[in-house]
Amino acid sequence: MLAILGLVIIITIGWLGSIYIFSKEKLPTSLRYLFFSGWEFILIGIAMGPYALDLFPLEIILQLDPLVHLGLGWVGLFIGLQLKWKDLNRLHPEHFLVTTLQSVFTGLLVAMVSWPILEHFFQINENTLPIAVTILAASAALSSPTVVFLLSRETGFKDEVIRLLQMITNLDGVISILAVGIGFTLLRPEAAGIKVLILISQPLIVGCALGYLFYLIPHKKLSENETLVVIIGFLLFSSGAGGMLQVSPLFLNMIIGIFLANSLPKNDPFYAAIINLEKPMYVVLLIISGLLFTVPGKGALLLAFAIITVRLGAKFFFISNIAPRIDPHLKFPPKTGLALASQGAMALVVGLAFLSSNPGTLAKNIFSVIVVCVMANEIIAPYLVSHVFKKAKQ
Amino acid sequence: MKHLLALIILYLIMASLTFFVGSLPADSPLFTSTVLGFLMLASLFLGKVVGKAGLPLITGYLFCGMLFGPWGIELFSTEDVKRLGFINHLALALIALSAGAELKLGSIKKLLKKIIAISVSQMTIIFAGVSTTFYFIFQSGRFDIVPQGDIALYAAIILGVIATANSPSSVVAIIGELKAHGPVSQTVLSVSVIKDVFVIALFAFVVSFILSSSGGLVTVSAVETFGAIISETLLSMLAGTVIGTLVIAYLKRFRKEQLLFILGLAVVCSAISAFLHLNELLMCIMVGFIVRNFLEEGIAFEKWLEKGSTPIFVIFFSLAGASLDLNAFMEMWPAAIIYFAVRLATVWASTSAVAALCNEPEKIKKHLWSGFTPQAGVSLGLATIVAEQFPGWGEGLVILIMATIVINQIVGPIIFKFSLLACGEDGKDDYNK
Repeated sequence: MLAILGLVIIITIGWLGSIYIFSKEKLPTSLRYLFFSGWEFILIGIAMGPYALDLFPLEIILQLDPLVHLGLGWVGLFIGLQLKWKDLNRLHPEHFLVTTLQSVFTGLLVAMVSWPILEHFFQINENTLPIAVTILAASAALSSPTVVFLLSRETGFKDEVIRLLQMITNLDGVISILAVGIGFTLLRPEAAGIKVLILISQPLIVGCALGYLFYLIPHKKLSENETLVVIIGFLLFSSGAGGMLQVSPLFLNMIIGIFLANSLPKNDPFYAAIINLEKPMYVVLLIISGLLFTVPGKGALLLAFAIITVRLGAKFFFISNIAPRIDPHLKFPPKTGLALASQGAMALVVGLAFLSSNPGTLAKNIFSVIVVCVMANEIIAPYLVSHVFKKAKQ
Repeated sequence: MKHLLALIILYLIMASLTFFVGSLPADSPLFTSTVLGFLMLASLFLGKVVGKAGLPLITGYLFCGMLFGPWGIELFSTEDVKRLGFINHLALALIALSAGAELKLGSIKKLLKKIIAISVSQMTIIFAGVSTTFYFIFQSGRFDIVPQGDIALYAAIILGVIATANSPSSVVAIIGELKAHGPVSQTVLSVSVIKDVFVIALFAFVVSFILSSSGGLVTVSAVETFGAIISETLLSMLAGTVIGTLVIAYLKRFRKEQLLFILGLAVVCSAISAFLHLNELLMCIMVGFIVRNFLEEGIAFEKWLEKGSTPIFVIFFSLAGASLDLNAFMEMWPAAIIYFAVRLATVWASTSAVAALCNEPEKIKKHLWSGFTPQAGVSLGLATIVAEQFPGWGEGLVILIMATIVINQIVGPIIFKFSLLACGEDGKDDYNK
């Protein structure tokens, strides 16, 4: 019964929230920017969790795990579906390189900063340290397209820079998921010698097998409701199966998404159904993240502060100084890198993937650091993006 | 064919998973998610396969649970089914909301006399027929289920009451699948919903009566029990009306995020009913009924419900299939077949008699009874109470009830679907006309 109460609150707020997030035109600009991407739902989750109202004791949170797996699977699949070979082929290789390298650059810098802080302030063994660092770096490396998209729609501003920003924010999540997937595999204790190859090929084989299974389902013969059943059932199954095989559910579902993006016809009803799940899934993930949040200690706060600073600095520096060297034709307005501040639910999902596979105090702390970073970045992102747009207009 | 192929591949993947990852604890959330996902997909595929043969989709869902569940190839255990039980609360609320939305005020006004007549007729004839038959069977000592004497009488009375229960969830699912509308579907749905309230009240009354007569532990008198049920019923209807009115007020202003809205409404209703100790089924039926009939665009609400509830329905019936106790059936099948046959005969007699008295058209006279054959949730719930309240002889009776539910739940939806098709009440047929 407690689980039902939990579901009541999450779904009700999720529902009201999704209406609110996407229709708050009436608020004054400064206030609207403050709650632009809906990060306040993390706060609502925290308020309902063990640190405030305690509406969600631990046993309820544990029963909500299928919801977490559904979210992980959905994000992985969604990202994978964007990787259609034909579309990717149309991108300039230089743009692709900028996207990848800025992500890797940011991730590496964050890893370098996180490593000593984790070693010094957290009780962490040497086997877990690389995993924790990989998770923090992967979550920091990516950026969310929501703020850029919403602000460009609101201001009606269309420019080459927006297209580039959208491309970067849409694709750099892939790098993070790849890092998480490969990192999870390489850091497994049995990963040595030839077995590494087997372990790396495992998610690829399972992903393709599940993708083929999904491909086999005659989508056009299913009603809209049945398509929804297939998607929910499939995401739960693939995420659960991935976890059972010690493969990152995010990575596995991205592989499935890539398989499907390149095999399903363009007009397949499945695409519309998965897009329809976007808003509810987004809000539910934010609330769950708030619920799973634990109050960070000094070390965690320091780590969060370091990551926020280094991340933003890295993105700013890369776009201003390195990107023009990769492609001299790229003419970014000043400070464009700051427009990549938003992390969105994707970063939380990377943390959730870690928490789901390694439940324990360390994972909770790491997750809370990610939550703090996401909240801070979501607060500042709209102001920074708006500033970059103004500069671009000039 | 493609669905069958997808089902086979899915099964092979699931079997390989459970084979290779045998060390994973069964209570792992990962395993729960995998089982949940597997059941949703496999049920849908099997539903499609049996649908090709003209059988109801829910028969496929039920078979899926039976086939892969603890009584079949054991891909998952009884414990896993219990762990997924929280879905049943949500599913019940959604089923009740859908049932309420299917009840059209105009039709009910027209059919009211008939609904009352059928309810009374069924409760009298089925109860009398089943109780009498089983009283003689128990007294004769055949099957050795309960001891002879007074207990045989009590057990026969309980069987009689439980035999009058129906399965509104199965009725809603079949009507939804066929998009059926017409006098048979409306009457069956209305009677199933309304009668279940009386069945629960009668059952509570009978249990109190038997406990007091047999010298068992009686905490409240039969009259008090009856009073409590009446007040619970009225309060549930009132709460349902209030929530329904609030939903209408909300829907007049907002029309966004249908999926979350429907799920949210179901869980809110479920939680409120639990918190206030109300009848969840009745309260949700009232909500659905009020919104469908008093909101200008009530049809849109009905469609939202259909969309939001499909995933939950699939898993609900699949879990119901996994919960059907096939061991009980194997143990008690001869008695179960008699119970089933007597119930079927009395359902037919009690319904057809009213249809004949009301001068219904031949089609209705012939097919109306079929909708009252499925039995599931309510009967299972009542059976659990029997085991709790009458230790010693209640357990044997419960095995018989469970075994009969297996037959009723498999045969009932099939009969009902074919009857609706025969009456021409399926939406497809109507559309073609």
